[in-house]
Amino acid sequence: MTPPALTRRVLVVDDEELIREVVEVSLASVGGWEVLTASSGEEGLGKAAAAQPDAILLDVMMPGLDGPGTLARLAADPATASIPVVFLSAKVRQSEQQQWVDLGAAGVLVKPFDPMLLATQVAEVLGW
Amino acid sequence: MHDSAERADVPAVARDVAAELQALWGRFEGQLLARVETLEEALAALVDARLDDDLRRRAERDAHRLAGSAGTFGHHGASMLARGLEELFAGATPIDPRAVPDALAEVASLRAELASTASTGSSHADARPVVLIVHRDAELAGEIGSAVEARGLAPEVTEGVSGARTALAGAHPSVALVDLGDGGDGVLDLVRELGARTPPVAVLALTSGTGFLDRVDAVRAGVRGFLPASLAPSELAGAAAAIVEAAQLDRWRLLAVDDDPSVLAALIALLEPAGLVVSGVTEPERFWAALRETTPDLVILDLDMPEVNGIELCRLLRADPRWAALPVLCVTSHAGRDTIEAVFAAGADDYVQKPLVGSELLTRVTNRLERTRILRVLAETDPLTGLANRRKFVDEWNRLQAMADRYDQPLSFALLDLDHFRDVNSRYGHEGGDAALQRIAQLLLERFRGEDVVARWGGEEIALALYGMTRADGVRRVSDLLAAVREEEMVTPGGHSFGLSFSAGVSEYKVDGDGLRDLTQRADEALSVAKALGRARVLPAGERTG
Repeated sequence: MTPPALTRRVLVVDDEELIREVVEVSLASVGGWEVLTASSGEEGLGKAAAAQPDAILLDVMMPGLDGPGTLARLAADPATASIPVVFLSAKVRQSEQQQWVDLGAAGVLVKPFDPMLLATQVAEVLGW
Repeated sequence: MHDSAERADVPAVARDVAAELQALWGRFEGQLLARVETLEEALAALVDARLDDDLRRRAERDAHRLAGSAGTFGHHGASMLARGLEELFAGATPIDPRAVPDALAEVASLRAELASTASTGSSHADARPVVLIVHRDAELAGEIGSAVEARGLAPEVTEGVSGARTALAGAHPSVALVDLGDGGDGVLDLVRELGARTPPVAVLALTSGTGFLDRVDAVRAGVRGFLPASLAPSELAGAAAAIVEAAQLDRWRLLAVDDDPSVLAALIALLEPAGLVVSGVTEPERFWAALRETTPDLVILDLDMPEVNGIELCRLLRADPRWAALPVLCVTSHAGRDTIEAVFAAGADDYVQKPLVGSELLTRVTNRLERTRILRVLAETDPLTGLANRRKFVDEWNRLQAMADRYDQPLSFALLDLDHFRDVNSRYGHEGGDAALQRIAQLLLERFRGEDVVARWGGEEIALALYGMTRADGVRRVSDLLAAVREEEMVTPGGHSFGLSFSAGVSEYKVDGDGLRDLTQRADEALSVAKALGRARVLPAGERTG
C-alpha cells in the first residue's frame, strides 16, 4: 500500500462564492488538502505570493483582472512564477483552451465539475 | 484519495460531501433561480423587441454562471441548457426572433430541473446505486467494496448483521451481497428485512462450499440468487452490477435524435423525472449504431435537423423489419398540414409540436409505451393464468442456464401436471377448470419469485425453472407447494368447491441433462412415475420406484 498523499495547499481564485465553496468542499473533504480562496484576480496575486500554494485553480471570466490576465501577472512575478496554474472554466472551446496552455497554464478543467472527482482531476493534471 | 488504505472511507466521505453540498445548495438555490429569472426577463424583452445591451450582457453572464455551476449539483441537463442560452445571448449581432420559442422552452426546462433539486439533485454524490456488502471477513469485504466501486456503484461495506442495520438506516441499497455463512446469527432475518423494504432490496447470497446452509430456507427468506464465496471480488461486483442493470432494463428506454444538444437536454430533463431512460444522439450517422446498442422502446426524431431529413430516417426505420414495429414520435416546430401528412405517411406514430411542453410530451410518450407494454405482455403471457407462456419460459431458461454456467450454480427444472383434471372439466365445466388453474397460478406466483420462472407449459401442465436449486432442493420446494395446493379449496364460478392435487417431476441441469430438451424428458418420466404411484407426489428424475 502506498503512503497517504502529502497534504497540499491549493489557492482557488473565482469571483463566484458558490464555486469557491464547492471547490473548497471538494478539495478539502475529498482530497484532504488545505484550501485558500480569493474572490478576484488582484486578491489572488497577493495570496499566492504570501501563502506560496502548491497550485492555483483560476477562473477565466472574472470582472477586473480576468483569468488570463492574472496568469500573466503570476508568471511575471518571480515569487509566484513557479506555482502551477490550472484554469477552471465554463467555456469549453478547444481553441481557447490551447491559448491558455500556451500562456503557461498547467491544464484546463471544465465547469461544471463533479465535486467527488475534482481533487483527482486536479492531481492528474498536475501529475501529483 | 488514490491509495487503497483510504478506500474503505470513500462511502463515508461521499456522504459527508453530499451533506455539505446539500447545505451549499440550500444557501445558493435562490441565487441560481434569480439567474434563471434574468434569462426569463431577457427573453420577455426580446419578444417585445426591447432587449437592451445591459440586460443582454447580464443574461449572457448569468447563463454562463448557471452553465458552470448547475451541473456541480447534479443538474447536467440544466448546465447544457444554460450553455445553449449563453451562446444565444453572446455577441452583439441582433438575436434571431425565430430562436425565441425554443429558448423559452429551454428556460422553462432549466427552471423545472433546478426546482426538482429538493429531492434528487443535492444528493448528487449519492446518486450511484448503493451495493450493501455484509461479510464476516473485513479484508475481503473491503476488496469487494473496491471492485464494486470500480463498476461505478457505491459500496456500503459492513461487518455482520448489526453493522448492516446501522448502514441501512442511512442508505437504500439496490443490491445486497450477503455472506450467509451457515445461515445463523440472524442473517436470514436481515435478508427478510431487506426484502420487506420499499422497493425491495435484491439479495445475492455468498455461500461457501463447506458451510451447511439450507438453501430452501434462504430462498424462503427472500434470497434472489446464490454465488460461491470463492468468486473473485470483481466477479461478485459484476453480478451485483448485472442486477442493477436488469433493474434499469425494466424501465422504458427511449432514443432521441436531435442535432441540437440543448433540445436533447430539454427532452432528457422533461422525461427522466418520469422514470424513463433517455439516450440522446446528436450525430444522425450514429443513429443506427445507437439503435442496436440501446434497443429502445420508442424513438423520438426531430424533423427540424438541417443536415438530415427526419422523415427519411423514419421511412428507413420502417423499411427495416427489425425496427418496423418500433414506435416513433416526431418533434417539429412546423406542424403544418403538409408536415403532419408527411409524418404519418413515413410511418411515424405521433408528433409533438415545439416548443416542447413537458406534460404533453410525457403524455404522448407514455400513451405510446403503454400500448407497447400491452402488446409485449400479450406476446409473453398465458392469457388464462397470467403466467409466462412457453416461448417466454424458453428465453428465460436460456438466460438462467448461462448464469448457472458462469457462477457454477445448480439449476433445476420441474414439470407439474394437475391430477384428474379431465374429471374437473367434465364435472364442473371448463369454467371450473379455468378457475382452478387460475388459483393454482396465484399460489405459484406467491411462492416462486426472484430468479424463479413459472410458465404454463400447455393444457394443465406447468413448468418451473429454479435457479440456485439442486434437484433435491427443487423437490422440497415443489412438495411445499403441493401441500399448500392440497389445503386449498377450489371454488367454481357456479359456487361448487372441490380439492385438487398435482404430480410433478424434477430434473437438474448438468445432472440429468445438458439442455432443456433432455431435462424436460427426464422430468416428464419422473412425472409419469409419480402418476403411476398414485398421484399427488413430487419425484426427482431417475427415481423409478416409490
